[in-house]
Amino acid sequence: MIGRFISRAAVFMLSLFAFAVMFLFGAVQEATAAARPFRIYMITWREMTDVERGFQNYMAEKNIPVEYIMRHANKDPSKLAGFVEEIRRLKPDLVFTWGTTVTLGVVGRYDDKNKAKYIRDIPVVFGLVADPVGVKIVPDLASSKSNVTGVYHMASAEAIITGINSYRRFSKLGMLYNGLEMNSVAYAGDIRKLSTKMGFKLFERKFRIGADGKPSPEGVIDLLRDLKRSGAEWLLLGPDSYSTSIGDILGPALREVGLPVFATTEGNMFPSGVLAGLISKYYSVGQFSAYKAEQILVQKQPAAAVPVETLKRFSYIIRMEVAKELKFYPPVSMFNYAEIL
Amino acid sequence: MDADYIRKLNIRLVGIVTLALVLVLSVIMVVSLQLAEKYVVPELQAKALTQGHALTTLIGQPLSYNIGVSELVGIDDLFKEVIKDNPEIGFLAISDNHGKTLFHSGDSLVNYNAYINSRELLIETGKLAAAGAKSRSLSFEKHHIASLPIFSADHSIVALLHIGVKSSYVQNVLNELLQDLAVILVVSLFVTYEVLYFILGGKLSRQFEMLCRTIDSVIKNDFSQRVYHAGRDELGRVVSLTDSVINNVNQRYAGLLATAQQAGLLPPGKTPDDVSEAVGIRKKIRFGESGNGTQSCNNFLGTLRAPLFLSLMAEDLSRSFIPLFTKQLYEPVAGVSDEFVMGLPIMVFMLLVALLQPVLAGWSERAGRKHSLLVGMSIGCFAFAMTANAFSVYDLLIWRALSGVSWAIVFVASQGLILDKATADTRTRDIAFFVGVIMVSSLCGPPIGGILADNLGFRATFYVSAGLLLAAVMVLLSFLPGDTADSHLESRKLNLRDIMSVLSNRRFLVLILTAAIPAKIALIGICYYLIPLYITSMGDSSAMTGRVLMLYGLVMVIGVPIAAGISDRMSKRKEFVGVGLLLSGISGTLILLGNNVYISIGIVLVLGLAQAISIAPQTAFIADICNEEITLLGEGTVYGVYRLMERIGNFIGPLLAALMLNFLGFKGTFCAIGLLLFVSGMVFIAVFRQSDNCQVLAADAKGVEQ
Repeated sequence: MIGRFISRAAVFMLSLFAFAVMFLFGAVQEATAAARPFRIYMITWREMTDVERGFQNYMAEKNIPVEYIMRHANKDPSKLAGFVEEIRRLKPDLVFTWGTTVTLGVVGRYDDKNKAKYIRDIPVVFGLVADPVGVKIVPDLASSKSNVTGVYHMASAEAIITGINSYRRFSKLGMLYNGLEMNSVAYAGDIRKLSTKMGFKLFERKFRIGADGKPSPEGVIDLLRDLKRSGAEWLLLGPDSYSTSIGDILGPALREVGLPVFATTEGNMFPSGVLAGLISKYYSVGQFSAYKAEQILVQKQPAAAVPVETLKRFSYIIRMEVAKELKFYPPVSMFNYAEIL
Repeated sequence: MDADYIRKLNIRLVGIVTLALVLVLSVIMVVSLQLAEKYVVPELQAKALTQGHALTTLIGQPLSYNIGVSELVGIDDLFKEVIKDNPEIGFLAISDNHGKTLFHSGDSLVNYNAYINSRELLIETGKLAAAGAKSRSLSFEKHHIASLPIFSADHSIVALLHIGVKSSYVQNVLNELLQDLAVILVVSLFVTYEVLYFILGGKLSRQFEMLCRTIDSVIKNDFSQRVYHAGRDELGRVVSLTDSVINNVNQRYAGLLATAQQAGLLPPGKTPDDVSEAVGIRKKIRFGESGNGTQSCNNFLGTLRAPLFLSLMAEDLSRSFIPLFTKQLYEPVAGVSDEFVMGLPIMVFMLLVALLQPVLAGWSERAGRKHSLLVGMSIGCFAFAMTANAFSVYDLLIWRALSGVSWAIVFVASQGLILDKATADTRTRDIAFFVGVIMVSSLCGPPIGGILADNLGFRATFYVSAGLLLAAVMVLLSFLPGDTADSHLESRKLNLRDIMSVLSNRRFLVLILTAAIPAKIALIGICYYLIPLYITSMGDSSAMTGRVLMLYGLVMVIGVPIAAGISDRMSKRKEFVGVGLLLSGISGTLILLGNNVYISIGIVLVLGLAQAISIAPQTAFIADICNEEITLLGEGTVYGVYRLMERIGNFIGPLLAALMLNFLGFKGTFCAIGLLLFVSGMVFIAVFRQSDNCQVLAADAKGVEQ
């Protein structure tokens, strides 16, 4: 009784304290905001996604005045050099980059000698990079020791495999990815390492490369049939941008072959044949990136002092329509925590 | 007047109180069992229903996507998990509306198939559901079955979930309760005796004793004794009357002598004393005031008893679960086994107690006994409060070390206080009192601690310990008189030369190595370390550990005085020690007979019996084999060395057990310790038999020479 009273009193005092702190922060923010809106240079890979929406809404909710300069690469890496030029000229307060390719185009690898090619003086916050250490955007998650920080969005490879196993135990896993995407290749490597450790067999297939040297959707269905023939019980879609971009071709092919698919990013949940996934919501990634930007812009922390992090919670998504089509139902206990689409 | 009057009064009082307590507690036991039966069963059924409702809701989710009941995936895993988490649930099953059992986990359904798959049950449950009831239940011999409807997407009943609650579980709960109540009965008996001693053993019995002694002296024509009691109660009035009668006689005698002197009846040059000496009155009758009569009636023992009991109890409360509490805090460290870490707090405690006791003896004498008791108890209070808040094994070790310091101080200071105040004729009795308090606390502490830990949690129990020590400090402050410099014994500090010289007695050394240390290894290693881990490893509670450990205390409390008496009368001390060691050995090997809680009870009972048989004879045996050293260095020094050496075993016990447990498992470790004791016993018997033969031979040889 007394214990409950004390804990209630403690909660009350804490909330009062938190309220006072928030009030103070708010006052400080308003004071600084009145001067001039922050200018954020925002680069996406294709178009505006939930990541940017999450980012902008967070800033708006926090009453942080921001002026956005929006640029889209339209899936063309060659455009990135132009953006870097423009950033130098416009001198924004912060740069936001979407995905691995854009981020590498703007900040380069941390061990790249040719520093003049990249932005190294203006703080850069990235969102939606699968493996920032693996692709050498930062040397260490705790601190980039440079002008870069951001949010990565992937659950660990172990968590993904455990996630698949809790839907249905498997011993053979297939993977299909774009061999030209750095993070897809790195991710396949991670899964390969795990396959020996966790005792399953991995079958890898890469999208075919067209005459133009770019990946092509041609023969996707054959690749999938081939995987199924070799005994793969699941198909794992890594953080592969190309798979996302050909969702309208990949989806029907997956449904035709009838292979259960597990996705690792929200983007890869798009192809209609995907059965389940363990993902971070793009919107949340955007919000978390905005929080990092807030630490840099409002609280005046150097980007090197802001750690690179991922979300604390991931969402387990199940697409019931696909489960029924495949007659491949999730275990009952999963209904306790999974989000059913 | 019969000098045994007080003892008889005591026995009668204790008898009446015991009878009254047993009666009252038995009634309470019966009533609470009835109440429990009345409330436990519905409570368990309600819990099972809540569980069932959660399950049907969960199972309803996939059904709402039009998945068929028979197509459900992962039901078996789900059921197994629920059964594992809810020990009262015997089985879970789902039957469909065609009378077929689709899923089943747990106890066999052989006797229930007809019931759970019956059309009637389905219809009945449907009706009940329509009327707003959640389930239909029926009790069978071994299970109480509750059946809940599972609805499809269109709200029709497609299946039934059956939950079988074990009838035996209710019985288990009631048995547990009965055992707890029995423990409380035993403990409250002992606590009542403590309180009785506090009051009776105090002023009352001392004053009766003094009164008896004084009247006895008067009968023997000795008018020099007085009772001296300032109280205004009935006893006080009797005492002051007695004293005034004696004073009166003395005054009359003095008056007689004075009158004789004034009347010039005395020969010249002689004092009245000379005359009475000459006439022989002095030899027949004693007058005046003798120094012996001014004994203080202040009963320090009765006053010390309560705080000492409280502080020992504080430590004994956690005996049954210290290794488990350590396990909870423990985060694996590479290269260190779990078993070793679980034994560490006991080791640290014992090590500090062993090392500090000789050092503290001198300090507590200089600082004053009351002062040191207060310091010791306050440290203990702080240490327990911190233990309750321990966040890792590392800080737990610090707090346990502090508890060790506290325990050592309280032990040394109480022992010192008793020895200070004891006179030659009360010494044995006072020491027995001290040992008695230790044993009673070790009997009451673990079971009460176990019950507390099961119901309030480990941390709360440590707070209770801290509270007990706080109470001890309070009692001490308000009742124990301040320190006086009335030490009867000039205590000597142990030094290395003394230790070496005592140890150079080979028979003493053999006794230490084959009896004293192994006995402690068995006691601490088995009772304090292995038993708590073993019992909980089989899924039993801390309360069960406490109950089992209480048996050890019980055997000791009853057995030690009996064994001591018999061994003294038969003067077969070494035989008793030898048999005790062999029995200890056998206790460990009892583990080979099976793997259940009864085996652990057997081990503790036999070990208790073994220790009860050997503990007093072993101490007395020292005097037999160390005659020379006792004459040279004094009894205190020799026994000091003996206690110091013995305590090495307290430290080695948990260390050895923890190391062996890692490699040998429970069976191997119990056996290994048993074997160690058995071999020690054999060596002890062999050595002392041989040395006796040598002595007999030597004596024979002397006889021949003469």
